[in-house]
Amino acid sequence: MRRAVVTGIGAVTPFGLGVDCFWDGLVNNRNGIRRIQSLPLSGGVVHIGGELPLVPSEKLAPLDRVPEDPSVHVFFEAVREAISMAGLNLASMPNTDRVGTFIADRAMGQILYLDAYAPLIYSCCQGGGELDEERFSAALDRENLLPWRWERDPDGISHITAREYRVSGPQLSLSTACASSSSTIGEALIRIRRGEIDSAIVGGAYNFDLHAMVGFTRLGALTVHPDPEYACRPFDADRSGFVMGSGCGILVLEELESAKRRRAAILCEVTGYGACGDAFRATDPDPDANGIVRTIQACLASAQIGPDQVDYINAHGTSTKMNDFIETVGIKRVFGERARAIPVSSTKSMIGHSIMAAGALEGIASSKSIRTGIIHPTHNWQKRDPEMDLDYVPGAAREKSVRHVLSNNFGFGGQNVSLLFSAFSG
Amino acid sequence: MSQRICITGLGTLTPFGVGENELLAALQSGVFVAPPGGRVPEFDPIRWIPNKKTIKLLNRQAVLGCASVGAAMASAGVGPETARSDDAIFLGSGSWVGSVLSMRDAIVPSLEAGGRVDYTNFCERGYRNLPPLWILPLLPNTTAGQATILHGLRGLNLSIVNGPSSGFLAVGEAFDCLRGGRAGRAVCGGAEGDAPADLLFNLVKRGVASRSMNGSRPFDPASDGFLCSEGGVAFVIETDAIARARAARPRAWIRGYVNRYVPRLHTERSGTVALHYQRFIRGVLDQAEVRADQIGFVQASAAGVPHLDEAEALAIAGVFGPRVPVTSVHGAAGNCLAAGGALSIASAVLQLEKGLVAPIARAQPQLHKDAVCYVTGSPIAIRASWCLVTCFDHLGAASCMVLQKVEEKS
Repeated sequence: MRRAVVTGIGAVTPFGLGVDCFWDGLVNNRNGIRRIQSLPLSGGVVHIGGELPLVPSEKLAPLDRVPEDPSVHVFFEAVREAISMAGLNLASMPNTDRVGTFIADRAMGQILYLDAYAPLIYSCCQGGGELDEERFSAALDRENLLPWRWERDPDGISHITAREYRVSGPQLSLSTACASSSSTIGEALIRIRRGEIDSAIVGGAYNFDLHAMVGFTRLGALTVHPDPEYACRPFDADRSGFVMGSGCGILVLEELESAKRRRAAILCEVTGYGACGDAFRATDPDPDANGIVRTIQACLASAQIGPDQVDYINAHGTSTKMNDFIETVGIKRVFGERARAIPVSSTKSMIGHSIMAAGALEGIASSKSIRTGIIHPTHNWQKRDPEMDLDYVPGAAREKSVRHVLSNNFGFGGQNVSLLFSAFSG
Repeated sequence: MSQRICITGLGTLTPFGVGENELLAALQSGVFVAPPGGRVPEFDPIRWIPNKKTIKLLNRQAVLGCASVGAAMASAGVGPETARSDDAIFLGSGSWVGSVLSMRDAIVPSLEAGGRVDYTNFCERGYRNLPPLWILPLLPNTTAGQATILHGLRGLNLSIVNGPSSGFLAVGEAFDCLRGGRAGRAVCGGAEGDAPADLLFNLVKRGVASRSMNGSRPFDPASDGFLCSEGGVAFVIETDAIARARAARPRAWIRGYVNRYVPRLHTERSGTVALHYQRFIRGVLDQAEVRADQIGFVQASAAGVPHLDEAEALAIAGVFGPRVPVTSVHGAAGNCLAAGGALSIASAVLQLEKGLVAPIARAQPQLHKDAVCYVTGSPIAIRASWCLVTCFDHLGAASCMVLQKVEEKS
C-alpha cells in the first residue's frame, strides 16, 4: 500500500504567523483569546475570540493577483510556509495533474461589506421598515455599487493556492463543519494510497465574521464568560461553551516514495482516517457516542494499529458541556481501561475554535508532538468534572515519547472525523 | 479490481418541475424554457421531509437538497429497511453564502437615518430578531446532515463547496468512493436555492451571470452570461454487486471521472484553455476505456459565458470533430450552479435511456459551428451507448464524466 507522509506544515493562528510561533504558544500554555477588535461587537453578541494576527500588507508575500479579502492574503502565509518547508518546486513540474488542492475554505461573503450596502438597504426599506428586495436589486444596478475592488481576486484560498502554484490536479473544498480540514487530510490520504495523486496541499482556513458571531451566539453554542483568559476551558467542570477562533493550517502530504526520491525531510506519516455520521440531530451529538466510536475504530483499522498503541489524543475538545462529555465517553468506549492512561489535550483551549481550519491546525500540533516528544496542555483545565476522568494534561506541557497521535474533530450535523498521525519509521 | 458502479435512483427538482418525467418532457419538447427566475415550481416538501419542524428550520437550498435526496432514494427503492452501515452521502452545497440579506431582520432595525449601521443597537437588540437556529441552514453541510438524519445514513458524509461544480464533483467523488471499495452505496448530487440580490449582483459584475434576455444561450456569442436558477438533483449510486443483490434496476453505468483544474483560466486565451480541457477529456475517455468515436453525444456544461463556452467548443471540436452531437441543458434550465452539474448528469442519463439528444434551447450556437455538431431546434434520435458529460466553470474547475447506457442484457 502506498503511504502518505507530511513534508511541510504552515500555520497562521491568533499567536501569529508560522508554525514555530504557534507551537511556542501551545507548549507555553499561552492564551490567544482576546476581546475582538476586528468587528464592532458588544452587548449580547459574544465579543471574545481568537483573531487572526494583524500583519501589515507589506509583510505579506506578493501574489500574482492580490486577494480582495485581506484575510485570504494572510492565510496564504501558511500555504507559503508549508510548501517552502516541503521544498516542493511545483513550478518545475511539467504537469501538476497529480497534485491535489484540498483546502476547506469559504468564498468571500458580502457581509464583510455591510457598511457599504447599508445606505442602499436603508433607502429601499418601505417606510423605514421592511426591505423591498426588488427595489434593492434594481438599486444595486443603478448605483453600480461594487464594494470590492475589481482588480483583486475575489475567490478563496484554495483557488488562490492552485492559481499561484499552477496546480491542475483535483481540487476539493470540503465542508464537514468543524471537521472540514480533517476531512481534507483524510481524503487526500485515500487518494494518495489509491495512486490517484502523488501529493496534495491540504488544510483549512477560517476567519469569523459577523454572521458567525451572531449565529453562534444565537445558537447558544458560545460561552458568554466575559473574561477572555478563562472563557475557554475544555473538559473542565465549569466549561460553558466554545470560543470562536480564526486561522489557517496547511500541510503538504506526499506519497512516501515520491518524498524519498527528492530527499524531502519527513515530519510524520498520516496512517489512519475514519469518518462516520451520527445521523442523530443537527446540533447535538449522539449521546451514546456511537458515531464517535465507529469513527475512531475505523481510523485505527485504517492505520492497522490497536487501541493500545495510541500515545496521545489531540481532542476535538471545544469546551461545550455536551461535546467534551460525549468525546470522553467515546474515548472510554474505544480504549477501555487504558483510556485514563492516555494524555488528552485540546488545542482549541488556547486559540479558540477555528472551525474549518481547526483539524489542520490540530494535525500540525500532532505532528509537532511526534517530532518534539512534547504534549501541549489543555489551557484552563482546573476543576474535574465528576463524570469525566481522563488525563486532560492540565497546567503545563509534558514530555513524552509519542509515536501515534489520534486527532479527533466532530461537527454539527453529526460529522465525525478521526486521523492518526504517526512517527515516520522508514 | 475496481467495482462497476451504476445509477439506480434519480431525484430531480428543477425549474421544469418536480420529478424526472418533467425533466424528460422538457428535454423531449426541445422548446421548453424554464420560467424567469428559474424557480422550481411550488411543491409540498412534506412528501420527502416528513417533519414540519425540520422544514421550518431549512432554507430553500436545503429543502431542495433534502427533497431531491428523498426522491432519489424512493426512486431507487432504498430506505431505512435496506440501509447499510456504510451508506455514504456526497452533496454539492449551494453557492449563496454570506449574503447581507440573510441578516436583514437584524440589520434593518439597526440602521440610523442615512443608512449607517448602529452596531450598539445591532448587538443589543437587532440580532435578537434572528431565530436561535438561524445559522444552521447557512452552514454548507446542513443539507447533507439533515439528509443523513432523515434517512439514517451513517457512513461517509461529505459536503462539497466548489461553486458551480459542487454537484458534479459530489457525484464524481461518490463514484470514486464506491469504485475504491470505501462504500457500497452512496447518495450524491447537489442543491441550489434562489439567489440573494447582493451575491447575484457580484456574479453579474464578475461577467459570468446575466439578468438580461440574452443570458443562458450556450455556445452563442450573443450570450452575456448565465441566468441563475435553482434546483435539487440527487442520485443513488451502487456497486453492481449490491444493486444486483437487491434486484435494483440500473439506469446507467458511470465509467470514468476526472477532477482537474485550470489555474490560469483567467489569463489564458480560449485556445490554450481548450488544450487543457482536451487533455482532461482524453484522460476520462482513457479511464473509461472508450474511444472518442464511440461517444454518442456530449452533454456540455456550456451555460452562455462566452469565453468558457468557446474553450469548451474548441475542446470538443479537437477531440470529437463535427461528428458527435453536442447539447447543453443550461439554455433551457439556466444555471442551477451547485445543482447544475448534477442536472447535466441527470439529463444525460434520461437521454441515454430514451435514445435521444435534446436540443440546446434559447440559443443559436455559433461558436466554431463548422467544427462542432450542435443539436438545435428539436431532439434527435440516436442509438448512443456512451456519452461524455463535462463540467467546466468560471472558477477554474474542469471535470468530466463518462456514462454508459445499460443495455438490456448487461
